[in-house]
Amino acid sequence: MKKINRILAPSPWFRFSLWVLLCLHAVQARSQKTTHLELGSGFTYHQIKDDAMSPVRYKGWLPTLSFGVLKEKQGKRLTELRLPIQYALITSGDFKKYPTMKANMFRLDIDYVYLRKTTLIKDTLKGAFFLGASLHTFLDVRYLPQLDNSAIVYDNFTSLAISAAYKGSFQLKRKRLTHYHRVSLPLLSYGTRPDYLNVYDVTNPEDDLFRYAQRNARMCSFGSFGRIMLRNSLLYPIRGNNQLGISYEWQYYTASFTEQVKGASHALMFSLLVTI
Amino acid sequence: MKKILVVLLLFVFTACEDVFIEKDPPSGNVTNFDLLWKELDRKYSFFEYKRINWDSVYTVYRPQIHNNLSREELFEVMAQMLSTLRDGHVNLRSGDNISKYENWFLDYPANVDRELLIRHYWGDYHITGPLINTIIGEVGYIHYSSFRNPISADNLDYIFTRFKDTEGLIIDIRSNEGGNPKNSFKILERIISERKMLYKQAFKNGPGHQDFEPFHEVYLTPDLENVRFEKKVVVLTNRRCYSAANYFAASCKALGITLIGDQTGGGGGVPAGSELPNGFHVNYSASVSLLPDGYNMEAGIVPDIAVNMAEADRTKGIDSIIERALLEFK
Repeated sequence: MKKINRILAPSPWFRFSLWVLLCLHAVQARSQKTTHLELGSGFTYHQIKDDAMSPVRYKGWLPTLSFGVLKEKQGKRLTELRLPIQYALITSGDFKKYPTMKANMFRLDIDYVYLRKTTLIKDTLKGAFFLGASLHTFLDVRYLPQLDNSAIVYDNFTSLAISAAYKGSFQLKRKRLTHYHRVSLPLLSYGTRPDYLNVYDVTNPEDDLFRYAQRNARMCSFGSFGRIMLRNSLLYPIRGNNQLGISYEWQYYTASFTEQVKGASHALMFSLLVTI
Repeated sequence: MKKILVVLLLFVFTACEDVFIEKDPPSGNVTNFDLLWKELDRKYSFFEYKRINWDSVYTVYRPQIHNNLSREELFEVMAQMLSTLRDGHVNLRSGDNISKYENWFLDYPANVDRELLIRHYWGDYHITGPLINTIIGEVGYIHYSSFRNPISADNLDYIFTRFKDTEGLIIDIRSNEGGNPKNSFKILERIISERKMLYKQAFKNGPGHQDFEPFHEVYLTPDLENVRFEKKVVVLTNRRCYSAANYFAASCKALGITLIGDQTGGGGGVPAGSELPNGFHVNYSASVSLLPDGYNMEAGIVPDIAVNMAEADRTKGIDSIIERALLEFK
């Protein structure tokens, strides 16, 4: 029994370790760690040229809603999680002449960015540089009933990317505004889009669109799936450490499957960042 | 200066996707005609099977195209070119008109008379979803006029429960021009007792006329959960059975179900669709389907018992094809 008590009784080393852990936790709790919940809305102008869909470009303004969580720890580590959702009609340039040339477009993105302050580039007086990795997934579905069995055209890619950012601030009257600029460049992706005919075997009771999409999925390097994302944000502080934001994001992607797709978008978003 | 450079760089990156995305092709008649010809050249699946020289078709029709043609005139020439493919699955849509090829049934006897069916065979028929159903003598009868109209599990539960004391079942798909093949499988799943191969299918996968993926076998799995029908079944066909109805007839053939009537009209390739810069849309066969014995389904499915409706019978109110089918249950 004594032996057991001796083992269970807190040794000086155990007590010291516990004290260190508690101190660290307290320090961490008091460190400059901020988390913002971002609610944004705006518009995205899309242009898409998809050989599986049409020989001409389709374009349109898509209302966009975005939800996100942004974390910053002591100005050394930044993480972003964003989920923009878009839905609208896109049309060809000659839509007024040929009203059948339209498509319903739905797009969902999930972007996770993890950045650490870098010492590779010297900080400026007003800002700091960050480097890191990011994970980007998007599902872009276009529905063109005029194409009959080939009506559903889609792109779904998940990419591992490198990201770099610059975060700085400047004084405007009594407020200190933050500006943030990020570029993300996917290196390795896994994704799917329609193949040569964009039609699955409708005469096969054991086949459907999801199985067809799964069959066409493949790993892509930068050569077969290229994407670039540029984001610029300006944040204006309001009460209670909350912020108002305006951001502009430009994206371009191209996938060289049997039928090539090229898409570009400009998104202008207004957001409210609430401290949580 | 630095700031201006940064702004300029940003502008160059963000506002010049024209560098990355090529401009639209000109929408002139010649461009549209060439794109249509090329799209079919790359994707249509029956050039070799039908022995069509698509290059010579181009040399016949291309000289008729010039940029002064009206939209309707362009449509007319394009439709004429497409009719050389002799394929009901090939059609051009302009928004104002749809081209069609209908010789797959026009040159053959109709072999069905709906008024005669209503007056002399259907009696007090039930309409269950898209299925007209009745009992003729001791035999259950279903008439499915189009596979475009979806059937539900409840529809089939009702009909097969109604037919539980019958001697067998006649499925009449005469003049069914197709629709969604998945609707037809819902019936067959209740009839078969084990997973069976229906046909083989290969899609085009490259621009050459013989560029196809390897053939894959298409199977049907039985539905053992819902109300089933396990007695003898026969299927009635005519030349106006096309596309999904052709696939249905082919499936029945592979499953050992007796086909009675006339050969089906064909439509043995899954249609795909494409768009032209001038807003025309074209559908075309994009696959080849073979029965398990290698027979190309584009030619139509040959019945096991060939019967035409005799005119003398028709004037007496007799449907020769149904009468022959009823003999199968005696």
